[in-house]
Amino acid sequence: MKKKVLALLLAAMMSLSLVACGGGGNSSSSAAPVSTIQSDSEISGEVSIQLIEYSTEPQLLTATQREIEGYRAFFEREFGAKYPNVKWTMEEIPWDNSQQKGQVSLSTGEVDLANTGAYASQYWYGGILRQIDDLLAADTSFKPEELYAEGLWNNSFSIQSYEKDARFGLPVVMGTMYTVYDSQIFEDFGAKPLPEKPTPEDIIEAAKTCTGINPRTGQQNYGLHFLANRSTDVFAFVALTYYTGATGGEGSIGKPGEIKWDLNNDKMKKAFEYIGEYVKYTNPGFLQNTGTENFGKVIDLEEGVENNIAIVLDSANSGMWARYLRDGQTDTSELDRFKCVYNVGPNGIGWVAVDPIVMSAKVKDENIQAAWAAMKFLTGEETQVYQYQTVMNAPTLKDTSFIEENNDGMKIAMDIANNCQYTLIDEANPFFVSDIVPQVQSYMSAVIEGQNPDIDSILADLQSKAESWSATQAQASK
Amino acid sequence: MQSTAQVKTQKKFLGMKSRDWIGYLFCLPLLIGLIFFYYYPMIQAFLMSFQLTDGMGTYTWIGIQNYTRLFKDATYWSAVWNTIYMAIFAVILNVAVPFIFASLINNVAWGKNFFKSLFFVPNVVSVVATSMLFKFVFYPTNQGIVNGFLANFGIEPLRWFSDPAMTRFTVCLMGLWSGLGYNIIIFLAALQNVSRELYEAADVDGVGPFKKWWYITVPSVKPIIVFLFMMQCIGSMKRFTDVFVLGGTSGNPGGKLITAVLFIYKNAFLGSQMGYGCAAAFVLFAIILALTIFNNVVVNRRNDE
Repeated sequence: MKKKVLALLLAAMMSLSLVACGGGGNSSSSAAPVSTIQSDSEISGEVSIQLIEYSTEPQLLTATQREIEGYRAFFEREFGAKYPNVKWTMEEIPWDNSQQKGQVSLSTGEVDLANTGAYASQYWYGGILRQIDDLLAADTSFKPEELYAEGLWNNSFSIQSYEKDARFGLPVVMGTMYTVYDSQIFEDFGAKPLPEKPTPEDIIEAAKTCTGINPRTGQQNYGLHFLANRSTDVFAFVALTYYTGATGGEGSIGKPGEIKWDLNNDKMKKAFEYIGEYVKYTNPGFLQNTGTENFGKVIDLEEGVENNIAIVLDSANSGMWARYLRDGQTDTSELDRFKCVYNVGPNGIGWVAVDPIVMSAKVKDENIQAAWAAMKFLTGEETQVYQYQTVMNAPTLKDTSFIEENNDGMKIAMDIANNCQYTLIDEANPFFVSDIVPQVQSYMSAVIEGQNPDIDSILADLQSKAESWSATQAQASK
Repeated sequence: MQSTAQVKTQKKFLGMKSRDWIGYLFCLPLLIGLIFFYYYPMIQAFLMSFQLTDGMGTYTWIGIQNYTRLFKDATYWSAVWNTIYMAIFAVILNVAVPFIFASLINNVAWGKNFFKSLFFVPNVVSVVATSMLFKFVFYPTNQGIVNGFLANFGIEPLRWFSDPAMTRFTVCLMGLWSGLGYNIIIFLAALQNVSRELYEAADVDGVGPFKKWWYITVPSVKPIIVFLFMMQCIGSMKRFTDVFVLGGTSGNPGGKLITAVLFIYKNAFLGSQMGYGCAAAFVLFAIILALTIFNNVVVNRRNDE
């Protein structure tokens, strides 16, 4: 009996002590604001850096079949030469669970700088990042508005608060998304080439024309494909909301309880109608995101199955460019056949993902200067050009002069970045991810099944849920 | 054996002998691990289910609002129903089919180890890789492996994962491919313990192979069948990875692949509604607990009969 009591007491005491230690709360920055930035030669300190799948080590890149020295060697050579008194460490982690790993590393101060995904805003509102406005103000020689793409710098939620009153990151890599179409299929079906900045009507008309049995190959062709089962977004839908002007409402994602939702309107309804039209011309594997394996490739009919998708929205086209590099930049057949054009939003924009470098709130005062120097270098022109040339990372820079003449896709992507905007219809918005995205995807699935869902009732339901969600958020913030 | 005098002279501390203390000390690392990584997270998650929280910085007590919201959320109950629907198929397939295969393998004269290895190989492939592979195996046109095979018999291509009416069953088939080998191994181990004398007596009586299997083999391995049945029930109620890879958080096509755990993941980790996700998790826990108790009661009652 005594043994049982003792064992239970031991377990209970440990449980209670751990529970008492649990619970949340914001961790506040330990670093004092900085008012002056030292000159490069004076800067000293220690900085630890965490990067996500940055190809830091020497390796053979599978996509391009090129040997690379790895980013660590580049950093050591270039940053080390510029800041000889700064001691640094660098680690690389995979994308799997990177959000959780980054959260732990930044919140404990285990790393000073980290490269994150577009969820950096969650870290900011979790209180684990250091605000960098004081550093930006003190560093008069650093001009981010001249360095980074204007749209990204002014509007991205990955580097600043939703109210745009605090900056916490510098942009380093962006996701490229634009429209790519197979000009050969267009020619086979007699479809007009897409204009440089197509409208949804242009897309739908071309997709409709190019769906059917291809007269040249005898294969069944499909007009359109886009990413349908991403858990946090439907990029094609977001671009359509930009086109129709459906912003989702008024307010800031940072103050969810004060958002005045406006989902049940003609603009949102039009966006649903467009995407409903889009999915009528998609391939059978569309919902599982299969069927585009040959898109971007020129395959001899006798050797294999040709590409049978006419248009892909939200395409990054990196596979095509990688093959071009791998083949010694001599074979332009794929680049010539698969044409890149803009998205359907105003000025051809669509949603742009931005991955930033952020600074931990736990950075020590004596290391701030070193961390800031490293942060600028990691996101600076040198690094971004190097990463673009070695591993094809899409830069967030304003200047595109270093992009090859025939890399149309990258030029379009960087132009989009200069003009991009963000609304409440954004994966930074928790309600968008948990409710709007699944609803759009369900609607697409219903249309594919030949059903005719009532968009008005869908939007009314979303509006009601959104208002209820905001009401809960408002209650929680009191 | 210790003498009475020796037993009386052993010192005790807090009523326990030294060897008892040593035993508890050996248990301590496991106990600490259980507390840190099992019970503490459970307690924290339970507390969070009464809070409005994104799991990172803000925690606001809102009482049972998460639970009342959950009980009115049609998506959650649809997810629970999808989970139960797939669990029914999964349990039947993953218990009956491996048992039949194990019975067959047990009776082969040679190559037992070969067949055991052959069926076990899929078990070592990750669920993510399996799901991605099966997207092509079950591609909805004749370009898919299965449809291409069926085309040889004049069968029109089936939409497998793309058809809302059959996608859940297709997922269960995929799960059968993965889990078949593991359950075969367990059944084979149980079949080794069936007494040969029973089969010999049956042979003397002229009993056919099917009746031997039904009246001797099945009752003899019943405890293992029950065990695997319960384990499959519990495992099937936690289905997530395969449906997430196939259908994303909308559970497409037609929302048929959204499961309870997928709902929890979507709300807790993607929607930054950790408190709501925790509430959903504990309701799922209650459902699984109820199912397990029900299974136990039914099994015990049958054993008593």
